[in-house]
Amino acid sequence: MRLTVWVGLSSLGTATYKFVKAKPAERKEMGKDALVTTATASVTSTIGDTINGIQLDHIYDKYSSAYMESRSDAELSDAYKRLEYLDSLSDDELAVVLQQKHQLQEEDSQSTKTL
Amino acid sequence: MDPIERLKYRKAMKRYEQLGAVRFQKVVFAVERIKFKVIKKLFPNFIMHYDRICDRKKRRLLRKSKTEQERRQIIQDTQFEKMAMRKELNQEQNRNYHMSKKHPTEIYPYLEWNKRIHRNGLMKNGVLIPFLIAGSIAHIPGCLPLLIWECISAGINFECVNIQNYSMARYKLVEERLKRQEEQRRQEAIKEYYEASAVIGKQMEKKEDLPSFDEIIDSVENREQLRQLKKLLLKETQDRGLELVGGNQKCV
Repeated sequence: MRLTVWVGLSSLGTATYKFVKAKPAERKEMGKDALVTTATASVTSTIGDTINGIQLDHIYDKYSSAYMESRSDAELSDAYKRLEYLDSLSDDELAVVLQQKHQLQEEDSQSTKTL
Repeated sequence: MDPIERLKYRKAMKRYEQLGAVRFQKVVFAVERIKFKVIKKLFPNFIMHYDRICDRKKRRLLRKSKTEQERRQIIQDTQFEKMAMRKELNQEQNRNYHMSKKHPTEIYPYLEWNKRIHRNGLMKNGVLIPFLIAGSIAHIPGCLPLLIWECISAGINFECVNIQNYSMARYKLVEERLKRQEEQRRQEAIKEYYEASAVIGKQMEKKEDLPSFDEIIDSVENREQLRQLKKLLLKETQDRGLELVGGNQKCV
């Protein structure tokens, strides 16, 4: 919603600036264009915002339920043991472990890019 | 659904039942059980070969793709296809014979797809059988066994189309209720597990192939995500009737 307001206001602002700077003969056409541009920008960004907001939830839900159903019993069991262990760590210990994991992941993806 | 439409579907169901839909379904389920036993016993690397076929198809489609959105859709479709096959093997259930509890409305396109396959088979039988009858009458060698085979095949195709019609009519009767239930379940899942779903979803979007569970756990950023992932996992195991043995052994 905020994005919609921002895009709408900024395109209105740009159109207004151009309108003020333009010659009288050009202003008549520009007036119409500015309204259309602002309206289109607002509607497009609204659609983008809303659709992204709704669909992302649905897509993630669809991914996660399909993923869970595709795992074997053994994979679920191993993953559960790992999660139990991580959950048993204190906040500080968990932060350190997760930090190390993310660093390793970053290094892995960097080395893949280099290769 | 208005009462007239409801009556129409009920009458259709009765007609398909009289043509043997429910009886033949038992045969189909028995064949299904045998199929999965054979796959698991004789083809332990089935999933590996299936993944290779999916990847080959994906590469072919990606070469033809023009936009990033198209590309992303192809990768996503391949990921879901691989997950769907793994689910079939885990549950030993064909996706086009059984309704998913979480996404019951997903079955309808599979029913249509299955019906199309058997209807095309029936049309092929319809074309071949007259020629084979003529060939058998003319004593052309090989025509008679082929005729017998085509007749059996036609019978099977006919019953399979009948079963799909029966299932589709049955589905239409409860479609509205299923859509409501599915939407309710989705909203509850999003409320309870959104963080965990987002972790899995983001990993899936990052990779072209399926991420391992270790990769997903490694991408967790905070305790809330960890807990939700654990809850999601527990829910899945409960649905399967599994008992998990937790452990605090170090396994980072």
